[in-house]
Amino acid sequence: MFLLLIICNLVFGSIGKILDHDMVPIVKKNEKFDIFPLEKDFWTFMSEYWLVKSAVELQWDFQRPDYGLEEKVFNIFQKFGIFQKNIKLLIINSSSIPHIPLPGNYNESIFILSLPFIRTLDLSKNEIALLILADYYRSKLNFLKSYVRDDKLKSMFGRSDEEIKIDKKLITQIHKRYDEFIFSKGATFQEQFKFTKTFSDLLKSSDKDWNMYFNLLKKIDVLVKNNMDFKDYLRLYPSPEMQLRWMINDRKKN
Amino acid sequence: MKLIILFVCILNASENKYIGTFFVKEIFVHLHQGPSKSTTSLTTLSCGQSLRIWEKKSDPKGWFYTKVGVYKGHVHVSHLSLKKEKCFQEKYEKFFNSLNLDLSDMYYFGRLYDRYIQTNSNLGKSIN
Repeated sequence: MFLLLIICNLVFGSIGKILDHDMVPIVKKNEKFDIFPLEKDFWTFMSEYWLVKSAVELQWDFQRPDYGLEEKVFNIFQKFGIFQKNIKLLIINSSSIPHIPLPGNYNESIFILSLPFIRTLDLSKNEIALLILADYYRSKLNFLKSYVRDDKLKSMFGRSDEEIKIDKKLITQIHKRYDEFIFSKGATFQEQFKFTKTFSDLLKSSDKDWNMYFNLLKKIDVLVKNNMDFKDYLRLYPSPEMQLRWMINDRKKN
Repeated sequence: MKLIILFVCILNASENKYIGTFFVKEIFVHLHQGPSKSTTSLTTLSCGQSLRIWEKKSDPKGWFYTKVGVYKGHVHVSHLSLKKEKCFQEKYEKFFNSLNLDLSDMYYFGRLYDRYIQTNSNLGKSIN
């Protein structure tokens, strides 16, 4: 028994020494990780955290049928040459946000789409897919991200110095800026013009899709003028009427 | 009687096929009571957690059976990966811990991944 104890001590003692020797650098290595995330890893997490915090308000956790949208969205992205994108679509049971793209990491796109909005407009799967594509191009123009990404946040990305304290207030402020843009400020006329021009140019390669988007804007224009449930649409995306004019003018020029 | 028990055991063994060890790849996901996202959540699983996975013949496509502690339930294949992914909460541990996520936050993170309609424009097929 005594001999067994000695053997155990010898074996496990040496294992312990090896572990001590090898584990210390691993722990030190972990400490080298950035304390504040790099920008390339930041946006998907922050947008999802905002969604988590807004779960009750946006009512996205509800039982809904399977609409079979994946294939249509996939097809239209492929058609316009958008590859290597992980597309995340969240249907909400609220009319507070009709549709909006949220900032995501490089290879990810997050979209919110309102069920009351698509039901009231009686949108087809193709129209919904086109709306998602439009929001993808809207997200590429970074209107929301630019609004959230203030100087303080920019200075925090990738910070690894031990002195920095991650203040929970900073995260609250970031979420507040999401709220401000989505529920109060919205896109400006200039931003809306820039987006409409970009998207109209893209759709010129397909008359069918250009006409579908044009008709979709017509439907939205009628909706926001007549249905009080969607009065906030104009705050987020000013004047579909102007968008229609810009699209016609753009077409006439060409 | 013994023969019946043996027969039931053999039948069960043939119905549950062990697939292997997988890792949770999303930030938080739910272990569901049944093979459907609408079934009760038994517990929340964190990114990087390893799971021993079985495939039940009776389960719909895309759902795997697993055991986590005292819980036995189902997890969707879209939340799993064969190799351990670089998880946000591990990569930025200090930042993540400073957020002090409560149980409700973790629950909703898991629900978010249940509710997403996901597709990847590179794979040529939908994930869900």
